[in-house]
Amino acid sequence: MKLRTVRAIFFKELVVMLRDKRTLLAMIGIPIVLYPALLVVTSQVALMHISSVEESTSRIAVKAGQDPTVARWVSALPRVELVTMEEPEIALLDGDVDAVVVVKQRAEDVLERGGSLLIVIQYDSTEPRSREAAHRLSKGFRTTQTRLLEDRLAKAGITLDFVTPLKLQEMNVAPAARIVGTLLAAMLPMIMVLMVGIGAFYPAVDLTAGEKERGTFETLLSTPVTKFEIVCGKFLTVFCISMLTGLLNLASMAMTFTFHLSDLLTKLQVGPEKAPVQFPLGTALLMILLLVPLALFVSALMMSVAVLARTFKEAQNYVTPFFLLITIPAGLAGMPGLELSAMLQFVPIVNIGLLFRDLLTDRATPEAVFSVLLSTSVYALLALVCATWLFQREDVILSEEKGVPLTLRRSRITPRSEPTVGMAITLYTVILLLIFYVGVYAQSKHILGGLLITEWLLIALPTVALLWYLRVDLLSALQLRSLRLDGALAVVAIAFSWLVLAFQLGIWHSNVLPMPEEMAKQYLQLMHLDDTNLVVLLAVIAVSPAICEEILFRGAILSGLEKRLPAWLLIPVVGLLFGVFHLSIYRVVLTGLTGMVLTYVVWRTRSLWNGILLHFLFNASAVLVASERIPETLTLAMRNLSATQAGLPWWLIGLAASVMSAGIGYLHLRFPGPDHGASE
Amino acid sequence: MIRTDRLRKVYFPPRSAPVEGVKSATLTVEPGEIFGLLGPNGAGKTTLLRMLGTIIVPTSGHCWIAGLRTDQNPDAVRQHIGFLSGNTKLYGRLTAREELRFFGYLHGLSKERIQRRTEELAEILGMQEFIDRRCDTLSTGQSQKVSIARVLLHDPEVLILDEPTTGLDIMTCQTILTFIRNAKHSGRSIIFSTHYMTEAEILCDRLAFIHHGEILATGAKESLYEKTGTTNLTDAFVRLVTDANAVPS
Repeated sequence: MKLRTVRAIFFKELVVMLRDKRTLLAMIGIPIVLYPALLVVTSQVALMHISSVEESTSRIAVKAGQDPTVARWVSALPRVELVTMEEPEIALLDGDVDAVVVVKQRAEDVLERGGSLLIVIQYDSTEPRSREAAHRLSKGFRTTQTRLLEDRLAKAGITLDFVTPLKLQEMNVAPAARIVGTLLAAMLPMIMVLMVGIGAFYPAVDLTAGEKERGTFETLLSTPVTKFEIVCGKFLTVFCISMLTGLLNLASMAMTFTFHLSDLLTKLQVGPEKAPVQFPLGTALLMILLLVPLALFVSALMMSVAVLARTFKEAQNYVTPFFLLITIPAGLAGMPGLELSAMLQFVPIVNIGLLFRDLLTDRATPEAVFSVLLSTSVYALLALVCATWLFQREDVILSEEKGVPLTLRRSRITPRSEPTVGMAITLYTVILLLIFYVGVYAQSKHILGGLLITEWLLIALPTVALLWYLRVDLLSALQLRSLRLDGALAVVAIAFSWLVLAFQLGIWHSNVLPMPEEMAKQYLQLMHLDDTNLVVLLAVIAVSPAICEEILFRGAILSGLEKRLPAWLLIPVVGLLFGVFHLSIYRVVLTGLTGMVLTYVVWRTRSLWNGILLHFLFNASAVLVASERIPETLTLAMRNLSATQAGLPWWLIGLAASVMSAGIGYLHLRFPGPDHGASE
Repeated sequence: MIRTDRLRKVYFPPRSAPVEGVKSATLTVEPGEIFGLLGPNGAGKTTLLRMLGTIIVPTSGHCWIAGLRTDQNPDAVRQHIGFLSGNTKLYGRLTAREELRFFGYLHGLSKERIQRRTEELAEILGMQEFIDRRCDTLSTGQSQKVSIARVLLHDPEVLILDEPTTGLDIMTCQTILTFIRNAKHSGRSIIFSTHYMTEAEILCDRLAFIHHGEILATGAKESLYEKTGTTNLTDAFVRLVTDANAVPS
């Protein structure tokens, strides 16, 4: 990939987009006008409404027979007008009167004999005027109540304080940031996703289907640039415009709220008096950081959808439903009571929406930020792989037929001898997600069964199925053709020497980064499972991973990445992917290194069987050692060996290192390794 | 120079049976030669030229451009090609000068070289008065000149022109025909498709008739007249098509 080319395409597309009024309107016009307008209009309407209700006079009907006492109290209240009606209850429902006071007893009699007078206030809760009337009445009657009580107590020679030992006063001390946050949190996430989507929408359509329609795509294809460079340049443009739209929205919103919201809050008497309202800077920065993967994801997806269309209009028809589809999960964030659980952290769009909300209300945890950032980036990567794949298909790029040009029929796919990088990345991420959602759950229900399901159904099956569907030659992609006895023997030597070295590395590793006790215990428990048959244990922990994980890593992923990466990068990358795959920060180093050893062996010998053998020996030995089911003499010998804190004695480490070097040296000398010349 | 060996392209439309766009095309175009590809609409001219231009990948067969095999290094191959067709339009929102600068960059030319070539080509093609105008405001003739400048900018050895004169007025056609002749004199290999027989008669050194994806005959026009017993290309073509249809395949 030539950066110069990507840059040229990027700048050209940016110029082309910025010379279009529609883009400018969506990108700059909407945010600049929308928020101030939104705030001014809503606050004006709210204030007008409140003041009109507050300043109006409530019309009250009193139904108290011949007794004038209650009516007298009511008419003494401020902003209350006493009206007389034939049937006040009906008038209340018709809105001719705001509240009705019903008293069935004679007030004077009841009060005189020291009783309690029942006063019913009828009102219509759907009418703001009626609610206000009921509120005024209750307040007025409470004052009267206090006065009457005071009179009675005075007669008995008791003070009011005596019967009210507690005085209650509520005071709202929520920080202004949180009040603003709660207000914003209800609507901001949806608006942000919406804005990023609106920002990406037009460029995504214009630079793909629009370009096809205007007949300039073929001009671009006739130049010495690769499809990948074209995708990158265009994608960067869509992403930048989407990001800019998001940022402008965020800025406009922050300014609007900083300058006008405190005003509004004071008027509405929501927050503490005259609270200075500011959009917290740290939150804003975090939100910008989160906008990046969100915009990446949305841009790549929209481009993938839009490139399927031949014309601008057709693309709009495809992208619009998709656009609505992403706003629904964003809207979920406004749902009260929906928590950003570990599961939801991995659901695209929803996770960003909920995290935005939590950030605004000061409830977000660093872990949540990290996993949302990570998972959204993974989705963005997948979407980008998808877009690249679509751009590389000439039936998509040059289609002249109506409708979606894409065919997924297997017979139309060109057979190939090894998977592409895109396939390898897709497999890796999809399986990672499958394990996260299904595997972890299954293992929590039943550890051994769950592990079997994970290995065979979530790792091996999708790998083989995808390769088969995409017509990749399984035997050559998985390197199942050759197996040499001398190679296998060298691999056995490497397996046992690496076991010793890994044991020692494990001891050092736990000195630096000790595994939490709880986790170590679980891990050991798995190895023990005393009541489990040893054969079953080996089948689950040694045989299954050796076959299934090798098919994925040293099979599909290695052959997918091999042609694109030099060996010095290929082996660490596959090893690291293998390490990360175990979803634990405490295991990433050791499994990563083991992954590198496995990768080297398969890469050099061109045979997956060697990887399976090495993986099996390694896991099986670990099971046997941990479950203490090896011959007693050997256990004793091992105890003696590892008696010291520092671990194994130096001579053993040295021996292991020499054997391992010899094994690797043998493979290096006697095996041809990858032959790029022969692979055409 | 251009050389192809049994190029074949099969399309798989999503909702119908596979279509053989080009059946088995073998031809050679020498430097300084104009090769005409003649045939009715839908004969497979565009498909063949797109394969030569590495815009689509052949289903089977091979193709060499300037000594490079197109399936092995398509990006390097395009460095030696100037490709012009009805589908290679200009970016309307760029000016002619920006257009040339952009395509210059994509061909890996330096800034200075792009500037120099732009001036040269503007002079030769007479584009000075509209070089700084946006392409969506240009007339058809002016746009066509900008397109020619784009094709020549990187001085390609091979020109692939797909119906470059279709739908153009007489004056613009002349511009194109002059451009093709000049390109021949500067030693480029030119392959161009057309369904105007007279245009081909005047310009081409050698010709191929293509019909239903099949090359019916190749050669200089005299040899084609001789072969079919006719005196002009239209008659020759009709004869070849009639003969081809008569033979049950």
